[in-house]
Amino acid sequence: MNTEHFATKFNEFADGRDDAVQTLRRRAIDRFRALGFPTRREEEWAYTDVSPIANLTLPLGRPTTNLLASADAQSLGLGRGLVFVDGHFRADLSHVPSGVTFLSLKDALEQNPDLVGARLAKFADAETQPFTALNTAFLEDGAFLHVPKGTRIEEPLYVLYVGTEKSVYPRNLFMIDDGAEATLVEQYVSHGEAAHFTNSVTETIVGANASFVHHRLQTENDHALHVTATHIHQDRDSRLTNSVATVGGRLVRNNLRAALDGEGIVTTLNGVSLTRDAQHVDNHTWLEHRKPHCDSHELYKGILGDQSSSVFSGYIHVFPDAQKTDAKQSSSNLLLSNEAVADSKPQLEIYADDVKCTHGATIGQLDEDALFYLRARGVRAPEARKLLVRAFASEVTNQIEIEPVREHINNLIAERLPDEID
Amino acid sequence: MLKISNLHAGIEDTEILRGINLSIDAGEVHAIMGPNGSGKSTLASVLAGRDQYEVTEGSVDFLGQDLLDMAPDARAHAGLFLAFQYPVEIPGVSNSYFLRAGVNAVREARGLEELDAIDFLKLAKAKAKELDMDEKFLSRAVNEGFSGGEKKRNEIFQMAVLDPKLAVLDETDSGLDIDALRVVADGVNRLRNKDRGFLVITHYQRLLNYIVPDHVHVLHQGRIVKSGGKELALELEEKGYGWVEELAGAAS
Repeated sequence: MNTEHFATKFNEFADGRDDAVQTLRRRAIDRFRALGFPTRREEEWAYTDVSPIANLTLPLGRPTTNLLASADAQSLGLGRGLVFVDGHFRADLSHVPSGVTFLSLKDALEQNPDLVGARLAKFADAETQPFTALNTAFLEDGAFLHVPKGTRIEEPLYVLYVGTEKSVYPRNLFMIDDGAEATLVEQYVSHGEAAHFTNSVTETIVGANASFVHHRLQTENDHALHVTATHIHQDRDSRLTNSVATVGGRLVRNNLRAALDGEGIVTTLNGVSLTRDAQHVDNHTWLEHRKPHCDSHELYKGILGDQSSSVFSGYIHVFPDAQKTDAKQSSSNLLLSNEAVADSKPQLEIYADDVKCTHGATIGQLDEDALFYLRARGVRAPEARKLLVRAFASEVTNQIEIEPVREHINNLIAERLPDEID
Repeated sequence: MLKISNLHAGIEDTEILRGINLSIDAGEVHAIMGPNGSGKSTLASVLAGRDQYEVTEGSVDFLGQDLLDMAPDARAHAGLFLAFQYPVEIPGVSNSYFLRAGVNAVREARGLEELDAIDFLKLAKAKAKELDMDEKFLSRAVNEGFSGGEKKRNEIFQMAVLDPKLAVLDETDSGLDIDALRVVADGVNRLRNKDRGFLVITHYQRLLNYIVPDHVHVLHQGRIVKSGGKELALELEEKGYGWVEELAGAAS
């Protein structure tokens, strides 16, 4: 595989830089070269072939000035917030709310190197994860949020990533300190129809008794390649909801790792994906119940049309100390075509003896009886199908409290539903 | 309004309906009675357009249109309504969303303006009240967690809101206690008028004490073997379905 292409790109990128994270980058590119791209022989990548990414020769995203107008950014985003084009912050397109430390990571590193440096790359594993290593090697910009102790941010915060035809490596760091609360919406979209590659890493640190709701919407074009790693570290009594909607992209891999590192934590992981044509979406989650009395709820739903494919792998690790764990995991898939393929793989490793862990996986097709019932009441077949697909997703989408986000996802499901359903 | 002529239909290679002839005029209530396996539910399914059933012979004319040539939704648009024997549960879709989609599709097909959410809710609440239904059910998922009686009442409620020209009730009384049966029958009787036809399919004569039919037909092995007035239902109740065997024997 084409590891050397990325190493060469790195040399061009890193040449002459001597900022605070340069050591981090150098270490990461070495790790990436040693690890190489994952292959399907590795268990965690058995269902996803990353060779379209490994063989990429796209140029690295550079800061832009006149690409995309303010009106475009506003029409692409569900709310006003930080805007990144080709992975780089665009102050002219962004709206930075007052009263909160919410800015580009690059600016944050310059303005407050101690605060950022103390947390950056502490939880994202660049030693063993090749894509995290690659992201860290090209670490330059992304979104930074710091909500100080006891602060509640009322309005949802928005981050918009617009990709064009480059390889980009966004790096996000979200710090929700003890007792703080915030909601953040992270959107990935395309400008144009060209292929582009996004390899993003997000580190989220949620303090004691803090609360964080994080929505991630990926609605890029059908040629986009997208690999993401979200690393979550939760302290005691904290609440975190992570909700991932994947609608665009030719090849998408979402990795999510959550460490429940204190008592009384509640973690909710929701996901919905809609694929058509030859799209492939792979959601891998790892949950570590490290301490007693924590609850996790995981619900992933896939809607698959045409020859598309999806993967859900959910690994739950209950540490010996984590008594009274209550972990619920469920994945279900709706196949709208005979050629679509869904793989679902729950994995539980439980080392404590007084726990509740449940998992369930279902794969099915549209309910013919329900379809006939709707049609017998006058609803035309295409609308009836849309209604049933929307209903299938609603268990996830109804949990989204921000109306524009919820409606956006519902509308995308209706719009992108394949015309032909077997 | 409905004219069924020599209707033959079946599922896969098994013929179930073997030459049904039946005419229903506006304002009439027809009851079809018959034992299990006589083809009652097949007839209802064929009329509503369920595609598992194949029509091999015959025709059905509904208000001047070839019913068998129409999609299930087009049949609803034309004014046909089927109250399901086994109403379907649809998790994730509320009753009001479900029914408003239906009402507006029917209205659109009839050249009427769509009802907005408020007007629809007004109509739905009024009909729910008539059927003694707690209006909270409107926001619950379609039939999910409903008791048998609630599901059947929901069918009658949908019928009242959709305002069909011909309603086919497929064993709506099965499994209901007397109280629930009364509510369902009252709902039907309230909708009886000179313009609307009913085809009431039932296994039990009891329903016909509450919904008094103009005509009763006895179905046996896919054919109507006897037709008469409402007194035929009583005679059938008294003599039992064994009598039907004799009738069928005499008829063939």
